[in-house]
Amino acid sequence: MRIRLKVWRQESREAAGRFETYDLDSVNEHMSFLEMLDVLNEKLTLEGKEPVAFDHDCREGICGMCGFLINGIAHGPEKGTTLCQLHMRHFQDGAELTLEPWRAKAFPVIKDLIVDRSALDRVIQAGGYISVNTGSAPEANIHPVPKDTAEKAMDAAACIGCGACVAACPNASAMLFTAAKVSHLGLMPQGQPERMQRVKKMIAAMDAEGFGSCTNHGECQAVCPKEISTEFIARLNRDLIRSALLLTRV
Amino acid sequence: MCGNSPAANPPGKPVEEFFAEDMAVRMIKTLTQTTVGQKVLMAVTGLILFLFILGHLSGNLLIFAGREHMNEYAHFLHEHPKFLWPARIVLLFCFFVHIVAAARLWLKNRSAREEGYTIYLPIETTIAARTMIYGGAAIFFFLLWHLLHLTFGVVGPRFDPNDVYGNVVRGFQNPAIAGIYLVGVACLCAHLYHGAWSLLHTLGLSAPEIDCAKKKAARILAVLIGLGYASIPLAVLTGVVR
Ligand code: HEM
Ligand code: FES
Repeated sequence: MRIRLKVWRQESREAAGRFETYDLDSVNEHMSFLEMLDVLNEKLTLEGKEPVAFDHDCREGICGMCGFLINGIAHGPEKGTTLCQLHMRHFQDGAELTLEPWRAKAFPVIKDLIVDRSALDRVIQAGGYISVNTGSAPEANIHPVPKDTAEKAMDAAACIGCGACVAACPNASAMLFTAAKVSHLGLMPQGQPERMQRVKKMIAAMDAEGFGSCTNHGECQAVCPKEISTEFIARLNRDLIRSALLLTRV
Repeated sequence: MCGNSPAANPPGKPVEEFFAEDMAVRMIKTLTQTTVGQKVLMAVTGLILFLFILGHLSGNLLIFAGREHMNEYAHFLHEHPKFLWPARIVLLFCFFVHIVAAARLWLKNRSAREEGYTIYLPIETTIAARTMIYGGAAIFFFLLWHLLHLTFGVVGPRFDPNDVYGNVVRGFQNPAIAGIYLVGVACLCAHLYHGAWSLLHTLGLSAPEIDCAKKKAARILAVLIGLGYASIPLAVLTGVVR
């Protein structure tokens, strides 16, 4: 199949970016989107041009490294799919696709389609952990967890931190990410001791990174490759309200 | 007691100092210094304003019961300043908090994406949700005008403080004034179309089993409120109420 790509090219953080157009004539419909870019990059390299820089690692939809917008939708048009798992058969022959990096003040472009997402790491560092002594694994039945709770915690823990929620949000808010991280720990018994501090610290870190606030547009959930629900945003809100109302020190 | 490793605190701040805030200070800080806290302020004040909108509508619909009923109700309110004034002060306070929080969050959200997308295709959001700040501002100016018209009687046709019914009818017989009301009510309707369920989500009311019904119910209520308010100028314009 034939594909025309309009790709955002930007040499460095400081450089001004622009779109460049590339035509590919023999794209195999079974290729993943990233494999199609590999073909483009081979072609560019042979022509002595700079290949398009894009993030990727596992290429099986579990690491969260890949991600940019295809025609205005984060991770492209397929629901619940990362770019690396998106196949070319979902596009029409002759399609014109515009590729643009995540755009947010907290995610500066490093090069082409790669953005710096370390802001999300700093949100995790602020409280997305539990403080336990490591060592031999504890006996598994010490903390019984109801099945529904375990399932819900897993739903939140499915977040791969790709940043699509921020990219798709009209406010560039990281609420879905932060909510998922707050919730998967907050649902588990091991997460309880630090639960009230965790929510406050992670929200403070999120605000400090320059992300916007949530106005319940729901775009994050719509593009999330792991289909994480905005229900967790409500849960984060509940935790924050509780932490503010507690009579004891938090 | 806080089960927290010191390393997790900001460097140079001992654990005790960092967490030794009393509840009131902690609450005010959370509500005014965090984005989520400001959203909670907006939701609580929005809910109070929403309840007012409902009460105000039910009073206004008395116009269909006739001149005596409407004037009697208005008279009753003015006879009881002990209830009227505290309610007005609460409303004014809610407006103030709601607008200040809206402005602060809006500025933060705007600065969170300095360079916009060339192509951006929203999937889930609505026009109502994306125009909250503009609709809100329009409601604010409409409200000022509305107060000048029917509370203070400074704008519009002849004003008689003892004949609320007559003031409303005389006003709406002027198509320009009725038009302003219809536009204002349309803005309110759009604002509530998103706001009414958004505030519930912000306050933490969400579960997979109820989310769809919650959204639908809030949206239907918003449309009903819009239709309810719009019915009054329309009834006067068409001569049903005179
Ligand atoms: C007067 C000027 C007003 C301004 C500038 C304003 C602005 C805003 C803004 C920017 C939001 C954020 C909504 C979002 O995107 O989630 C909002 C939410 C809301 N507003 Fe207003 N508004 C105003 C008046 C009102 C009035 C009169 C009411 C009630 C009748 C109201 C009820 C609400 C509600 C219930 C919300 C939802 C809060 C939430 O999202 O959690 N607002 N407003
Ligand atoms: S490359 Fe790992 S999720 Fe796409």
